[in-house]
Amino acid sequence: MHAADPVEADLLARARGGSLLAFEEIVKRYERRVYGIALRIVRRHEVADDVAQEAFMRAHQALSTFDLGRPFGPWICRIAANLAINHVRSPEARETPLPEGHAETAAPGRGALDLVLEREAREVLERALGDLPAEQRAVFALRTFEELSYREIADALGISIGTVMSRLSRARERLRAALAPYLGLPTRRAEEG
Amino acid sequence: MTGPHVTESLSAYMDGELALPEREAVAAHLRGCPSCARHLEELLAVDAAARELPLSVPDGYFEAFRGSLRGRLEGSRPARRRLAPAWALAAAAALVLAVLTPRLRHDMRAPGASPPSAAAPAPRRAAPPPASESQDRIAEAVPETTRAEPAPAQPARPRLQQGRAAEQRPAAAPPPVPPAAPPQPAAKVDAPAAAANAAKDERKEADELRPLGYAGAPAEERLARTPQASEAEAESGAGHAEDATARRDKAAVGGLRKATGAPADEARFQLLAQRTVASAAEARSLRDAWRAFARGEAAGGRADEARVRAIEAGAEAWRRGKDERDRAATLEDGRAYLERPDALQADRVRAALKSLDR
Repeated sequence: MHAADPVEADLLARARGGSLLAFEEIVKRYERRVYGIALRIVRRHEVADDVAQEAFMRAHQALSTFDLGRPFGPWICRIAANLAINHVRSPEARETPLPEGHAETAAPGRGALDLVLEREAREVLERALGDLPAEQRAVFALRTFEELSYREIADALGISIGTVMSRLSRARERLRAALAPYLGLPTRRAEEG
Repeated sequence: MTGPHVTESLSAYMDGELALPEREAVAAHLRGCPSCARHLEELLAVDAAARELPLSVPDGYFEAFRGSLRGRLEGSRPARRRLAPAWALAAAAALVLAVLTPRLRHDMRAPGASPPSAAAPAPRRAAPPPASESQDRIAEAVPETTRAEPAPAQPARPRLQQGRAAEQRPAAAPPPVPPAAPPQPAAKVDAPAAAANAAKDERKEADELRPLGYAGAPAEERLARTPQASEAEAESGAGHAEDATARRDKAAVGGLRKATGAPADEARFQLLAQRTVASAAEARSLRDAWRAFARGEAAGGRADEARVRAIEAGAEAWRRGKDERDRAATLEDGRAYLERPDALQADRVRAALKSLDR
């Protein structure tokens, strides 16, 4: 576990003392990350927004119990991940794909076919991620995007390391299967050409 | 190939989460098995592709996110909700003290001594904490008994109060009580001051909140307004995050009038006099509030004092933010003041203007 950044620890101490200004600085540091985790699990902007807000609210309410010697990032990410998983498990959750239309710019030197395939592959991957069971998606997000260790993921989600290992493996296998037509395409086409 | 395929271990292998013997076994297998090696490459490619997925965020989303979160946090602060009873308690206590103990108060003062700051009981000053002048003023505005036994819900953040109070004014701060203010009967002065002091924590809460709310009402916007508009807004208590304080002050004043019959202007004056600032934005807010107060006072010592304090608050805003517009506005206020035929504190204003020298 990394030691806390002294500036961050100072901000947290002030936030704990009642300064919302200090807490907002903390929010600025982590809002993108927290929102990203939420979005990658719940798959909908509106829900991710709710989850991220709630995560910061709960962190704020629990600041008095937070160990200032520990980094804030993993803590808030775990809160967000758990909230997101709870949402996905809830009956009212309605999972829909991410909206289309990400801004894309052609990288120089790439052919039109590569770009089309890349775009296709991205859409397939988005869908495959959305099709993962929420528990697998959460483990995959915490590992791949947040680079948490298996122990940290296990602690965050209240599961065993073995469960983390198996869920992550299954998630990756499903994504690999979905992306199989696109994996290694440039190499294959080069070999074929 | 060495042994059976290891595909089930590849995920943990690529994360470095396998124990040493198993890791070595998988590595050995991969060296001799192109199929598993390719499988590993594909898993790594999946992770890499996932990391490259763009995170689509609408423009301005995080600013709106913070604004919404800020609103929720402000609304959920339990201390703010709990303050109402303490505030009422303190007002009631002040009223009781004002009615029942005027003689006690009289006896505590030396005959003829006027401002409370000069009438502090000697024993309390004998071994004081390292407190600022403004702290003294705040403490002395409260009857002794009230200080000895603060309201139950009021112990919040004494350290923060000290810190904030200590930086309330620059070294050339004016005397704690307006020199030109008309003398007030003890009962009338104490009651609003005590109740105002009880509301102090609540205003500090608002002070803490203001910089957050301030993002939505930036200095540029406020400074672009005419002084008249700013004053009108400060007067009406609408339109800005800072005006939460103004609204609370107004409510406090209303409560005081009901409880004590004290003049509302005096109560307002006391509330403003006790406001502390911790940022340029807060100093601007205070400046605008003093301007509004002066505008509402036709003439007299209190209006003069308000004008001077508006100038000093403007100077404080410049000192903290080094925003040239604050400096220009303060110089303009200062010039206007010095041109007034009824200016009572020209030297003090000149000192404030001198502090604007770069």
